[in-house]
Amino acid sequence: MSPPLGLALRWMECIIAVAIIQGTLELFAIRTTFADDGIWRWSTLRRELRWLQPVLAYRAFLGVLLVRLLAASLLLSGVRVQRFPYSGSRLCL
Amino acid sequence: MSASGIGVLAILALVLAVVAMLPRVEVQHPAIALVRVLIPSWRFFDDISESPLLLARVATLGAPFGPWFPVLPPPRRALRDLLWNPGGNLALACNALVDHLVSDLADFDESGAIRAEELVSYQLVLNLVRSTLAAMSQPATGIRLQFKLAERASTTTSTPSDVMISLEHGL
Repeated sequence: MSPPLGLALRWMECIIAVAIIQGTLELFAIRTTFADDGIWRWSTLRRELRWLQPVLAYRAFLGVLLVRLLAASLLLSGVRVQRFPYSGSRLCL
Repeated sequence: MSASGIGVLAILALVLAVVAMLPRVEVQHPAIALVRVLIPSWRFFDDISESPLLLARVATLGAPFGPWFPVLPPPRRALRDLLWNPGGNLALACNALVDHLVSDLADFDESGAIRAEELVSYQLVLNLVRSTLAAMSQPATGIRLQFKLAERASTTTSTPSDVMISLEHGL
């Protein structure tokens, strides 16, 4: 990969990571709307989304947001998987 | 970039152009509705219409209802909203919720399979009204509430017409 293209991809990674972090923090800021007495409470949503309970019930959803925040932070920090998926993956800092 | 990479991008652009020119098809299946957030849509403004007003009123036990008041006041805007705007996003989601209820009610009129108050979107709007009233510190004992959707008045002198009026619910 030529250096300019690699640099462009790295910039895209950073921009996407910042957008995800910002969006996730905004969701944390309004997390009460997903709580058990909020607007999008699970007791209402589960009628249509029962199979998504492991990720959309309130506490599970907070966990999903946390994982999303962590993943975006890793992307922003430059952690990447090399040699994936050809011959065993490893994390590089 | 290699010639093969440019070729792939050209093919991708061609596919996108062809897909964009195809006539729009509405897919009503609930499984598709669940993943629609993952499917990009570039036709943002093919159906321009204002969201209806969400109004509510409350009554204490045995007393008549008070006047209708808007549940979703227009959000205040500030420069920092460009970078940090959870309240604005929440207001947008609440308006989308109202639009979703209007859409569901239109489908509901056609099918008539279930009662309107059994719709998930109806329940979510009811949650929204309850949350708003709770935030306004309304007393919670013996309170009844009702909400309605009304089309926005086209002029300052005309009055909004009702799209639907809910049943009475407890707070």
